[in-house]
Amino acid sequence: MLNIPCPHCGLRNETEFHYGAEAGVAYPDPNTLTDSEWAKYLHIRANPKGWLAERWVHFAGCGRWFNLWRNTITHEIGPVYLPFTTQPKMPGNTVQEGPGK
Amino acid sequence: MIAKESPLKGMDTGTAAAVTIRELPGLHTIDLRVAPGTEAQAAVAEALGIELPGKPGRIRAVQVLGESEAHALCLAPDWWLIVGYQEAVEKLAPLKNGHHFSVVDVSGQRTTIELEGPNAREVLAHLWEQDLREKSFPAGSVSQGLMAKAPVIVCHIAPSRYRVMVRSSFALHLWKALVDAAEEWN
Repeated sequence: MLNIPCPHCGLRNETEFHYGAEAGVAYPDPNTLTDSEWAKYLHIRANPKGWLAERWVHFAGCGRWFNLWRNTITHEIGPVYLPFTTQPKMPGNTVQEGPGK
Repeated sequence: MIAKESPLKGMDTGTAAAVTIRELPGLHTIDLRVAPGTEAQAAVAEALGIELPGKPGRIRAVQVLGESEAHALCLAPDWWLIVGYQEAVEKLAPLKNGHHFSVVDVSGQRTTIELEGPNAREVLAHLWEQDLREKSFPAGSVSQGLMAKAPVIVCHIAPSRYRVMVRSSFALHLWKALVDAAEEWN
């Protein structure tokens, strides 16, 4: 089980959280997009093997959304940051193996 | 307020030398949401005549005229529960046109189970995955989480005295789980 550091409540078990997929996906203006661009925004994500910035919500605790870096291979957890703040740099060392790389 | 029947009515108070489990039904509770560090928060605190704990996970025992015991619980940066303060909603009503905040009377939402005694912490620890040791959960701490899969708020009110606030519909389930956990301390 993952131990997730909630920025408000501290380290808690994964069972207290819900996953919110990739963080930092910009919301485009739906009025100016084609259907395929909109579909791409809705459904296409980086899905990297390695570090991924993710959204999580601490539903059983403070109820707040926050973001963190997680390594999808090792489950190592990197920097945690709040929404609407600058995304910290991706933690180092692990090779990013995403699509097209 | 609608008179409410306790969800644990008729349950025996579990008494043992090491731990006493009892229900505190109908504790007056309000749910307060206000953006931290704003004028609204200062105005709310002033109207209530109490200081709101600033950090999630902290409880402040507050002195309220005519109340034997009142507490302000900080659950998230912008979320507080005020327990045992009958006049709270009335006192905040005059602020409603000038400030942005939300107050809801949630007295009927949960009931409170109190555990008291030298082994209260051990009994709770059977069902609670969070660290209850003194260094991480001293008296004056509050935490939300899942206890026997039921969403609860655990308060460390005073040394060897804990309160578990649980939704009414989960109360009987949790009561049985706690009584079962207390068995070995009898």
